[in-house]
Formats: sequence, C-alpha cells, structure tokens
Amino acid sequence: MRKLMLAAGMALAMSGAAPAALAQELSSTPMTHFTATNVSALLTKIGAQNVTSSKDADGITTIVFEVAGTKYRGMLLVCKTEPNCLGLLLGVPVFSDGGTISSEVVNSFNGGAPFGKAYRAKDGTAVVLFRYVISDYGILEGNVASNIANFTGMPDAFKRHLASQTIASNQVGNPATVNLTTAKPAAAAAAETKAAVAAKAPAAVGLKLPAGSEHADLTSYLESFAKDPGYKISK
Amino acid sequence: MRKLMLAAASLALMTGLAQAAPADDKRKVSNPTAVVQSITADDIAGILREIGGADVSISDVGGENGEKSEKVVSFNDGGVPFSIAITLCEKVDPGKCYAFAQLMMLEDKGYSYATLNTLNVDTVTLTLFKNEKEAYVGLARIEIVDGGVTRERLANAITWYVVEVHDALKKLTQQVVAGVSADGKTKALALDAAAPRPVKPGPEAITQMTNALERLADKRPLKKLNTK
Repeated sequence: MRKLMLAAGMALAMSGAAPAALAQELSSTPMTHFTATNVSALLTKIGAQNVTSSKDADGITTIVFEVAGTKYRGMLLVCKTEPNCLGLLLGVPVFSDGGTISSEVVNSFNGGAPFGKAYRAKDGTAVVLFRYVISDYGILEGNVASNIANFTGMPDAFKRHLASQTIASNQVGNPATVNLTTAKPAAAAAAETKAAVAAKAPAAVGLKLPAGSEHADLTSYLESFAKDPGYKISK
Repeated sequence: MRKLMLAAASLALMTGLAQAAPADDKRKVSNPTAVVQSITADDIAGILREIGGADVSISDVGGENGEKSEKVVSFNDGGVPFSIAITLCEKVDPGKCYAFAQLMMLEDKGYSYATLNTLNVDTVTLTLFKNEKEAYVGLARIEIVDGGVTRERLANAITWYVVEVHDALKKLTQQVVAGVSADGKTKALALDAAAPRPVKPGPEAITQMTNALERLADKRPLKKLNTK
C-alpha cells in the first residue's frame, strides 16, 4: 500500500494528472539493469509525459521525457549485454537569457545542492544538470523513481540559486590569478611533479570494487546534452 | 559504442580497476539481496565494517543553539578520512532516514573552477565544489535509499564513491595551480606536486550537505510521495 501511495503521490506531483489514472504499483523486485523498456515504462508509470526512446549511431539508447513542459534525457550506459545497461545518465540543459552563466554560480550551486551536478558547458552559454544512477546489484523501481523525481527538481533549484546570486558573470573573485613571469618552465615543473607524484603515490585503497566494475566517461555525452532544448530561465 | 568502450576502459585504467584483485570474500556484504528502505547510522557503519572500512565510528555533529544534530559515520580508507551524514530524517516518518550524504573535504590549493568543472565530468559519482570562504574543496555524493535498494547496491555505492575520491585526489595532485598568498602577492603558476591535505568536515559543512537535499525535497515530490 505504501508503494501505491508513493507512486500515486509522485505521479501527481510530477504531472498534475489525476491520481486515479496513475495509481499503478511499483515493482518490489530489484532491477539489476536498465533497459529502454523498463525505464520508459517506469517513467510513464510515475507520470512523465511524451516518453520516447531511440538509439544513436554509436548504439547508445536515449530516453527523452517531459516533466512540467521541460525535456529531460536519460541515457543508458555501460551495456555489457544488450539491451541491459548498468548506468542511467539523467541530464537536462539549462539556458539563461541573461547571458552566460558564471563559473562561480555553477560552483556554488554544486556546493549548495550536490544531489546531482551542474556542468558548465559551451563556455557558460549552457549549464547541464545531471545525475548518474547505477543499478549494479539491485535497485527498486521506487528508488529509481525517487532519483528521477528529485532530479527533475534540479532546474527549478538552479533557477532559484541563480536568482539569489549577485555575482557578475565575469569571473570576479577568481583567486587563480596567474603570474606568468615567475612561473617555472613547463618542462622543469613537469619533471618536478613527476618525481613528487612518484614519491607520494596514493596510499593503497582498502575498499575495492569487484573486478570488471566500470562506468562511463561522461564528457562527450554532456556536451551533446547542451545542444538540446532544455530548461529556459528568463530574466 | 566504441567510444563508450574506450571511455570505460580509460576510466578503469585511471582508477586502477583493470588491475583490481578479485573480490575478497571477507569484504562481501552480508545479506546482499536484502532490500533497504530506510537507513540508520548503525546500518551504514555495519556495511562499512563488512566491506573493509577502517576506523569506523558514529558521532553526533552540530546540535548547538537548539538545532537538530546530524548522525555522521566517519571512516578511513587509504589514509583518507571520509564522512557519511544520515539525512532526510524525521521529515517523513519519525525515526526513519531516507538518504545519506557522503563528503570528503580537502584544502583548496587554488584549484580553478575549470579544473573542478572538468573533474565533475571525469568522475561518475562525485560532485566537486570549492568553498572560497573556508578555503576547502568538497567532494560529495548524495544517495537516496527511499524506494528501496539492495544492501549490496548500498555497499557498491559507497565503494564507488571512495574509489573515485582517491582517483580525484590523484588528479588534483597533478593540477596546475596558482593563487594569492597570505601576504597578498600572487603565487607563481606551478604544477601542484604535493597531495592536497584532507580537512575534517565541521558541523557547518555537514549541515550544508544535509540541508541541500532537504531543501530540494521541500520543493519536489519526495516529500509528498512519502506522505502517509
């Protein structure tokens, strides 16, 4: 019953639709993989709209869905045995018609609400908000739903954060002022660093991931997210 | 697909996963398929002890001036101190908590925003940020257990975080940094050869983490969907 209320409550909150039509029970069996089918079905179940999926030339499946008029993407990554994937990259680009978004704003947002991350793309003309969800060893539909629901709260949170900032977008206050006249020659500095790193190799890590654990490098995907229409912040 | 495989292989190499030893039986979590719907500090501490976390302890952080205190699980891995704050408590069901915030802090040696921006995409689970006022860099990850995850998923989530922090520390050690010294003079641009020093998170940093999710949940369905 609790699950039923969770699903209905979430769906209602996400879409504003009538609860009776959305009162579907979430599965209590842990899912160990994400697929286009199970993620799309869950999104529909919890009230996301216009859910579609497609595969690109590299074989990456992307699920596009809308919540309150904003388009989000869920990309399925680390698919060792198609169509089963271990990672779900949720992303949404944010644009401001106030111009570029400063590094300070992105940084302070990450510090204040690290539920996901904000990535400054395209020289600040876009910020991609994203969160990576891992299914390894079992995650219930309800948990994926909570991850998605909270993620869809990030654009509004970013908008509020941006509105609260008074810092100009010209990187005022960046302490990384460079004095090139006293900088060491690159080769000397590099050699020094190499020696120091070798001498200060990180201590052995106690906690270990099982052999074969892997998740993807996200850079290229996030830059591609920034090309999509997303969440617009008007002045 | 090729790009993905390369990326995955590259990450595996960077984190040393390619050479990772087979899972040690002693480090396997008990009841791996048991579903966890809410957590306590004891639950997290128990999992940490099972998977090999060192110096695991639980403390109450904050609580001054009548504010609520936070349960924080501290542990050590490879000489690096980690903190896990239990959060999203009381809001929904008294005595139950639905999320935890993992946090590791280190001194800010003048890392640029661009460096942190890059590391935010070079890592899967970490959110990196710098606090100019307190001169630290935070490496955080919030996990939600609301809705249910298996115990092994929880253990794996903590392990991913720890492994990625070690990897990020290695990368930060090799960064080009510059800055302003205490006397106001500009410091030279140089490769930062020394490993950044970890900083133990104080109550303020912990509260900031835990409040972040609570604030988000205030505005979003999580609060509503958990309403009885």
